[in-house]
Amino acid sequence: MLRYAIKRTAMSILTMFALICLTFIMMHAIPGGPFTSDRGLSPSVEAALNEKYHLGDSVLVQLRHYMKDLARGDLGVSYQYRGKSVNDFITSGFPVSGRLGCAAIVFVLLTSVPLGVTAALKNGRWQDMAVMGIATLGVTIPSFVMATMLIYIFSYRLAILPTLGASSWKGYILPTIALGGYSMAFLARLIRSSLLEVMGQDYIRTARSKGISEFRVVTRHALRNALIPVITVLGPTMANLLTGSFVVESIFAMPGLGIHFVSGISNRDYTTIMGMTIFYATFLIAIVFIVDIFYCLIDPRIKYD
Amino acid sequence: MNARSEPNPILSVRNLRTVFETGDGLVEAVRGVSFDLRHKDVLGIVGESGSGKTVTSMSILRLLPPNGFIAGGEIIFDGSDLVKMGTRVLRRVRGNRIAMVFQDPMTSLNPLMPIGKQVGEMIAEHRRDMSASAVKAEVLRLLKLVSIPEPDVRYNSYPHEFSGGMRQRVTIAMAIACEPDILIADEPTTALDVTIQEQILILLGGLRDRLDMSVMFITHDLGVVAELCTRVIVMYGGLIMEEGSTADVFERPMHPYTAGLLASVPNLASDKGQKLSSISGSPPDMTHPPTGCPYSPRCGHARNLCGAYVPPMFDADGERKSSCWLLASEAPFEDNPFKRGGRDV
Repeated sequence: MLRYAIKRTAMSILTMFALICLTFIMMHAIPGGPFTSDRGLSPSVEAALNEKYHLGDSVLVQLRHYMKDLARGDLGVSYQYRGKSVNDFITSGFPVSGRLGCAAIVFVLLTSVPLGVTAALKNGRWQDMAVMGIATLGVTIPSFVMATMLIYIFSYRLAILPTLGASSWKGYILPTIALGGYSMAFLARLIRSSLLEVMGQDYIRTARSKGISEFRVVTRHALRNALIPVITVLGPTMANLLTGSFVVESIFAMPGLGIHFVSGISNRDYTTIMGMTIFYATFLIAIVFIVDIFYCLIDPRIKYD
Repeated sequence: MNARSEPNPILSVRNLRTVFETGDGLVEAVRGVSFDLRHKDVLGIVGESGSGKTVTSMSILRLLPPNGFIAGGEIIFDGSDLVKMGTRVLRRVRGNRIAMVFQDPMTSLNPLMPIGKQVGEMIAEHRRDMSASAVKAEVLRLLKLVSIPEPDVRYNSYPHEFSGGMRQRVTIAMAIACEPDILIADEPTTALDVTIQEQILILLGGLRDRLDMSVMFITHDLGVVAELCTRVIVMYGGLIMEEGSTADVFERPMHPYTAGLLASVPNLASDKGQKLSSISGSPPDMTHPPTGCPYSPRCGHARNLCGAYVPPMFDADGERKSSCWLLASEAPFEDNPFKRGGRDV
């Protein structure tokens, strides 16, 4: 297990390295730069800025400089916002995105598991139809439509929840639902089909033949087996929810990470793009790693050696 | 002695009909089956795939898949009808008084639960007064009883760490844990190789004597029946073709299907180069079962009557039953294997 962990860590570092190089090179391949454009800078000022940030150097030289800084944990300063570093963006934005993400994860888990299980156990009956209806809507309605609908109903019509802001816990409710809606629907469907398959397995019949209660058959024998494929998609889903969604954050005006991702790209804010990519990728790699370890714990047949 | 006078069969199946809902409509897999399981008998139920033998065994504890249901009949156990019994009461029968061993030991154990726990769960369910440590001690005793080496080490092993034969021993340990009155074994040796099969059969035979159980043994293997069973039922097309003591049925079959089956068993003593005999044709399509005797399309003795009407169960001498028109009192003597040489029934 320890050997596996070491191997995986080494692999992760390699992956990160490849990812950084690729992103850096591709990013510089996009025409234009942070200071070109319609911002009314005179050519001499633009040249001086490019000079200051070494943007005139070859991409590989710049990449070397970037790596050096990165090794010290410095993600660089933003070209867009004077006096702000990319590290600042993350320290100010991630708590908001993180809180929203955690809330969304809890929401998704608390809803998708009961919904999926109910649908599977009541296969073909109205409960199943209802859950599948909700799930199909959840998968097909884009988050911005969902967000707008939620605002219309709960903020405008019923006036019980705020439209925007991350100042109180109430402000998190609608964004959480809008952000988690898709994952909830997707997971509910997955849990349903997985549990349905498991319920048809021979060992479930064996468990029933023992005379134990149906509740116990489901909880002790079926659910654990049914959750194995669910855990696979849970990793990337969690990373997605945690690192924030630009759409949901911007609709609800939440000062999270998502906005930096999008504005960074359109402004060619190289350091921001790199910083966000690295942060997101690290998160994803770490979570997938944790999920793989989790597999071992839940399924004794999986051995990493 | 007349079988009907046997005071209390431990299990009585009467006119059982089990139906499956499929994409092609309703399929009647068991079409009116009646038999008795008597105390300490080992009753073999033989038949090819699709004959309804497994469905019959699954119907007893109502372990049918969701699209299957019992459409009629009674299954009387200990004075009550398992078909009509409430789930809670039925749960006290399952595992506790009637236990099952399933066909494929590779898939019939939960892959995520240590085998000791899976056996222990059975005991804990039905012996509520036993402490956790007593349950564990009992599991270890059972694992030893079914000859699993190093039970205390293997207690915590998972199914994938066992061979097929060892897993089947675990499922047997589980099935006998509560010392049931009846053990239903559904092709317990089919998925195993021949040497392991033999060991499992010896184990089951020994356990029956030791635990005073009655056994229902579902199989398609006539050799297994000859070795283990005291009585045998031959099923075909969802119906019972013939029933009798193993020796009787094997020595003088009273149904053309049984005779065909026995003739197709390869014989090591026969001449080299002799062709293996087989029953021509294929089993009936149960979505459209034949109106008459299900075997009639393949039967060498079939007449018009056979294709039109299902023959009743003819009682030869109480112990023997056969469902074949050749046994009817009006049946001709000519070309009738069951009415030759003064063996008129």
